[in-house]
Formats: sequence, structure tokens, C-alpha cells
Amino acid sequence: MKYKKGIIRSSIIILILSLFVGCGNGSGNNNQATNGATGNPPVADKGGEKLPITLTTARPIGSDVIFINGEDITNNVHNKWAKDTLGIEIKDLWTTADNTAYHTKLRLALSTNEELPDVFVVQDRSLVADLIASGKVMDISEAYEQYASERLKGLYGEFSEALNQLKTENGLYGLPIFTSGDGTNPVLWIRQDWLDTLKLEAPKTIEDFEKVMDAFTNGDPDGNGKKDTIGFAFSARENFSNWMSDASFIFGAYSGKAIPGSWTEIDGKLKLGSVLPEMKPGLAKMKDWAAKGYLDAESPILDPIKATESFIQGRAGMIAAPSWSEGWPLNGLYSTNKDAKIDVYPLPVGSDGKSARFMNTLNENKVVVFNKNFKNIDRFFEYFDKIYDVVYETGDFKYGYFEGYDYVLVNGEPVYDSKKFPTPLEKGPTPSKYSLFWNTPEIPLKGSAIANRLYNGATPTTVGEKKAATQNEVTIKAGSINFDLKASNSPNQFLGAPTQTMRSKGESLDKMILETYARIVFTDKSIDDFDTLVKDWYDKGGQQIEDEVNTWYQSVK
Amino acid sequence: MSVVLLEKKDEGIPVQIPVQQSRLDRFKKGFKRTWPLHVLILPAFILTILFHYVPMLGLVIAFQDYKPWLGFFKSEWVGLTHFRNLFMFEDSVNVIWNTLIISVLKISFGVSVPVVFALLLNEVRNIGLKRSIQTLVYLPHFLSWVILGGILIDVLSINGGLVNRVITSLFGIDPIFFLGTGNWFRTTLVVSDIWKEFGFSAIVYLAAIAGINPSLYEAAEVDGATRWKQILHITIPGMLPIIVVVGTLQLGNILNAGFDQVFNLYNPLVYREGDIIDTFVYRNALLEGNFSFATAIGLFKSVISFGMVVYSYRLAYKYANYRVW
Repeated sequence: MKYKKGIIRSSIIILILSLFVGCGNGSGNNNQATNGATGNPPVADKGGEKLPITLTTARPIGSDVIFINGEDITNNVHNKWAKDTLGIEIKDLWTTADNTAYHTKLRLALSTNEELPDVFVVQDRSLVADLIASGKVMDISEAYEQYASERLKGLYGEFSEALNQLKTENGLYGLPIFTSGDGTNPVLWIRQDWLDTLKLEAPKTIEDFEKVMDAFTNGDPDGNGKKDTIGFAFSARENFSNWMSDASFIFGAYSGKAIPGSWTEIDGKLKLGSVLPEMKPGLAKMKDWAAKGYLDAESPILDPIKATESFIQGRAGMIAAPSWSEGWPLNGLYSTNKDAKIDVYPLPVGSDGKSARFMNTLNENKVVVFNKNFKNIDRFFEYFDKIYDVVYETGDFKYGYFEGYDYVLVNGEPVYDSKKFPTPLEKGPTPSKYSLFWNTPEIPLKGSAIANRLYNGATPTTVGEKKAATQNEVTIKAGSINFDLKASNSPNQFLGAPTQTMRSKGESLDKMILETYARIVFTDKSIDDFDTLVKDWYDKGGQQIEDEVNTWYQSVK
Repeated sequence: MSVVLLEKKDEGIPVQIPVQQSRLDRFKKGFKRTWPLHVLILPAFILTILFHYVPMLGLVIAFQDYKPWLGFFKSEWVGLTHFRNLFMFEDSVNVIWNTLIISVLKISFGVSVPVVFALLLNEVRNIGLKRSIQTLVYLPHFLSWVILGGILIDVLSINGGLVNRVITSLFGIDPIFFLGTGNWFRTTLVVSDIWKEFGFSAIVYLAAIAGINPSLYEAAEVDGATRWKQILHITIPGMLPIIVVVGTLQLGNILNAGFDQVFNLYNPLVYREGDIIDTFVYRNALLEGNFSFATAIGLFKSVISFGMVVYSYRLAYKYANYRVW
């Protein structure tokens, strides 16, 4: 209670204070911030030496950013490199200790009319929407066409849907900063020792899956003579599609494309998966399973991480979790059960091989945007391309960022483990986090593609492959399966700002869906109430939301 | 006034002669003597104005469609739309009811349980035991609901949680899904909240008991009163003013059912019985960035709470002779 009161009170204070600040020295502030960028004339890159420019930014500098040699964020090897090689002097207007404070400060800057940094990253969809609506960020559609390098255009062309996050009917207001892309897509983890004990094969279809669950529940797989095991662990507290402890694939096996909680294109129109009739068979199946005791009756009160505990404690035999989960949190199983063996398999599919599974956005909602008054966007694109050298393993950054920082060459071979450096470092510095993007921007799905090659017997040759090859076997297998399953990825295709009706009614409607789903599966609520849910959803504002979403979809198509 | 009279008295002039002085003069004279006190209170006064009254201007956004980049002056005025929306949601009526039910239960047990506990503890003769019990029971007060929420989920689990294991072995009934069935959920909220807070709340009652004049007990003993009679006729009447004050002031919290607690424990199965105003605001307004709507609900709550505080202050004055000044 005090907590919430505090929020409201402090936000009101902030608003009030910001009012004064806004009135008081709006123009005074501006000078300081823009001097650097706008003070210099734009540089025509016609043969001659590039004029040095100053580029302002702002970013969170957490304890995970590690410096050595007495460097800090304003003075480090990366900034020096940018200045010497590209003639870009990076200047931090302000920094914060964490992401939340960073976004609060940005929001404050927006409401006080403080000048925004030239280039800055935002990881908050509603803030991005506000920034675009405020008219203070730059439309970069022309600049992108003109200055983006070929390989960047190729990359964004391949994953062009991600650009929809920043598109409006008027233009393109920034760029998504890609992450590994499929890092939170689920694969199926199974207690291999249980399968072996019961002499079962890993499930390939939903029918197999049901049989295995039945055996895990009733066949006493842990051999203690008690009926104390369940088939499958998942979380239903926030959604049925989750980044951990997921259940989306059960619905996907019947729909083939849509999953709960995501907007999916069907016949040219975006539809919310949760209220499609295709969800009904999956839901009915889960109700049946819950009644038979295959599922944990407590799933609705467990959040995605808490839900992994029944697997870790050796009570549940299967769980759908990301490809890196064996390293954490599932490895917890080994500490209580030394003989346990975890293996990873593709998610079971429906009839005719139908499947779909949860997928986050390729950039985990991280985007870079630009101040409207930023004059040197050409130079930014040059910098952006250079940073991608690390991922493409070309140019200055062929082995990594900076020798002596993230790698050291020993006899011409790069060493990445800082503990094995000629002068070992307990905590290696993180030059990847000195960049404007908080971390190295990646090529989506590349990690799992590498895992796939390695799993199929390729010898690691590139830097990326060599790094990946140091992972344990089951993690590489999981990555490979993650890659194989990419056809079943069902990302949310609505990437625009929350629409008007979503903002006013969306939460209530989401709550209604989740409540009905959970009650159908875990209580005596009838499966036919699903039809009532669909009707209610459309009547109580869902229709408006669907129309607004499709207006957006037409505008970016 | 009294100051003036005292001076006159010292000079030997009869008190009953009215001293004709204008209010301003009296104020001037008084101020001359007391100005250091005013200076002392000034910083607190300024801070109160600055941080408690000036921010109230921000309430205007409850009547606007507030956009951060437009500010207070350019955001569109929408009148009472947000308040109307609050009551248009079929959720919101449900949510307000839940809040009332949960907080009334919490207030009534939250007052009575510590009183009973304080009475019982007061009867413990062994000082060492008394002290250690007191320390033990107020410890949970210092745990946050984020931690307790996780602990409760484990302790109340239907899969071998401590509580259910005790219940099944003692009574031979099926495990109870405390956090997943509506009425049990409310009970769990109230009981766990009382468990967490009763020790801490009892401190004030123990202090009240300690303040009762021992000669009353001695006199009662001489008259042959039993311990029970002593509690009934001395201890309870002695505590009554403070019980009434605490109880009535709690009424100001009638719309606060405990955000931290509910937020960490509620789930899709008990939305209908467990969703309260604060969690509703959190999801609908703060997560969605609807600052105006959040402020409107905050204002609504504050007005109700203000009314309750005024009313309860009257009650406290009437029944316990409690006054702030």
C-alpha cells in the first residue's frame, strides 16, 4: 500500500517539479544539450578528411559494465576508438544506474521539454510510442535509404517485420536493435531417466505427449512406490504463452499458427490468438489432462520461474523452456537428484504436423531513436556498421572488440576467457557494453543456426562457432532443435503502440481471457464457456481493438 | 490572552477587569515573545506546503487526457470522463466490493486480535518469557510481502505444503487449495496479514496496559476481585481509549486492502474474489501509462479516505475523548 501511494505521490511531485523546470529554463537547457551535435555543420563526406563531430547520448551503466585500466564510460577504449577512427566524440549527457531509472529519466526529459540526446536506446514500448507521438524524434526513412550500409540493409530487409515497431503512416522513427531473436523460444525438456525407466520414446505428437504424461503420472517413474509425480509443468499466472514454463505449443498443435496472447495474421487480417475458435480443442485437451492429474493444479498461481520448481524438485517429467535452460534453472535438478538425466526434444506436433510456439520480438523491444535535431545521422550509420564488424567477424573487430579487453591473441589465436589471459583477470572487462547500444547488436537466429551446424558435426572455424562449441552437449542440441523448430515460431505480429482502446480496456479484457482459460482448465467451468468468452471479448471492446490493430497493420504493410 | 492576564495579576490588578487591547496588539506582543518558535517551525511548514500541498495541483490531470509531452497546460480537458470510466467497468464495481470486504475483515481482526494478545501476554508472569514472545511475534512485521508471498505459496501448496500436510494428517480431509479458491483466498489474505502484523500492533496496547495505575489493581485485590474480574473491570476499561483511537483511525484505510500482499498472491483463479482497487489501478493505469486514470482513482480513494478520517475523528472524540489539538 505504502508502495503504491509512494508511486502516485512521487509521480505527482515529479510532474509538479517538472512543470516548473519546463517553464523555467526550457531554452537554457537546450543549448547545453545541442551544442555538440547541431553546433557542427553536417559533414559532406566528399573525399576529404571527416570533420570531428560530437554525438550525445544517455544510457544506463549497471554493475555489469566492467572497466579496467581506470577507464569509465566517458573515457574508455571504445570512445577513443570512435574518436580516432570515425571522428565521433561520444558524450554522455547523463547516465543512470539501472534500466528503470533510465526510462524514468527519459520520460521526465520528455515531459519537461528537456533536449533529448542525439542517439539513444529505448526498451519500453509505451515510451517509444510517446516519443514518436511527441514529434521529438527523427523520421529516418530517407537517412536509412541513403546512409545504411548494404549489409545493414540486407539484415533489416531479412527481418523487415521488426521495423514495424517504429513505423507510422508518416515514416520510420528509429531502428530495432536485434538480440539473438529466439533466445526465449521454448523447446521440450524431458527427464530422460524416467523415459528409460518406463521404456518410452520421446513424444513426437500430442497423442504421444499425452501417453508419456500418463506414464509419468501413473507409472511411478521415480520408483518410490508413491503416486507423487506429474507429467508436465507450466505457468498460467500471467499467460498461457510464456518465455519460461510455456504451454503455447499445445494450442499451436491444433491451430497450426495462432497461440494465446499473440496477434497473428489470418487471411490478411490480424487476429488475437486467445479468442480464435482454434484455441478450443487445445483448451479442452488441457482440461482433460488437468482432470487426469497430468498437470500441476497450482499452475495458475506459479509465475514462469516458480513453475520450473516442480521439474527441478523431480516431481514433473516435462517442461517447455528456452534452449539455454539446462544451464539455468533446470540444472537445479542435479543438486537434489544426482542420477537425473535431462534431455531435450522438439515440441510435439498436432495432426498433419501442425505446430506453433511462443516467440518474443527479435529485439526484445529494444530500439534506437534519434533526436529530431541530430544533424549527423550519416556518421551514426557509419558507426553502426562498424559495430556490426564484431558479429560479421570482419574489419577491425575480426576477433572481438579490443585486444586486452575482451580477447588476447596468444600465438595468433584469440583467447576469450579472461582467466586464461597472459595476465589473468578475475572479471573480464566488457567492451561490448561500452557501445551506444548497451550491448553488441546481433544477427537474429544466428546463434541457433551455429548450434545447428555444430550439432550436425561441423568443425568450428569462425569465432562465433568456436565460442559456441565450448557449451555443453545438451545445450548445443537444444540450440539445434530451436533452429529446426523455427517454422513454428509464432511471434506477435502487432508491433505498434498500444491502441486507444487497448490502453483503456485492454487490461480488463486480458484479465477476462486469462481468468476464463484458467477456470476452464483447472475448475469445473465448462469448455463451452470459451464461446461465451469470445463473444464477450468482442462485445466489450475487443472488436474495436481488432479494428484499431488492423488499421495499424494496413498502415505498415 | 493568558499571558496578558498573568502579567496583570503579577502587578496586583484584579483579574476580572477586562484588558482592552486590539487583536493586532495582542498578536504583536505575543509574537515578540514567541517568534523563535515560529522560526523553528518554519522549515517544516515550508516543506509541508512544498511537498504536500503544491503537488496537489497535479490532481488536475485527473480531469485531463494527460500527455507527458504536452504538460498540464496543453493536455486536453475531459472533465469527469475518468471518474465515469471507473464506474463503467464492470470490473471496477467488483473490485471496489472486494476491497471493502477484505479491508473491513482486516480492520476488525487487525484491531481485535492484538488486543486479545496483549491481554494474554500481560498475564504472563515470567518476564523473560514475556519479552521473548513479544520479540518473536513482531518479527514478521519486518518481512516484505515479496518474500512472504513466495514462502506462503510453498507453505500453503497442495503438493505437500506444510499447512496442508498438517490438515490432511490431523483431520483426514483433502488438501485445501488456499490460494486458488475464492473464499479461502480472502481468508488467507486476512489471516496472513494478521499473523504478520498482530505482534507489532500489540505494542501500543501493551504500552497502554503498562500505563494503568497499579493502585487500581491493589484496591481490586483487597476487594477480592479475581484476575478475570481485574481484566474485565480495570485493564479493558484502561485500554479502551487507545483501542477506540486505533480502530477509528483505521477506518481511513477502508479502501486500502494491501497492494503488496494481494499483488504477490493473487492469480487468475481468484481474480473475481481477490482483485482490489490498487491492483486494478496498477494493471489498468500504471502499466498502460494512463496517468490521468490512475490519478482519478487516487483522488476518488483520497476523498473517501478523507471522509472516513473526519468521521472517525469525530467518533474518537465522542467515545474516547481523543483530540489531535
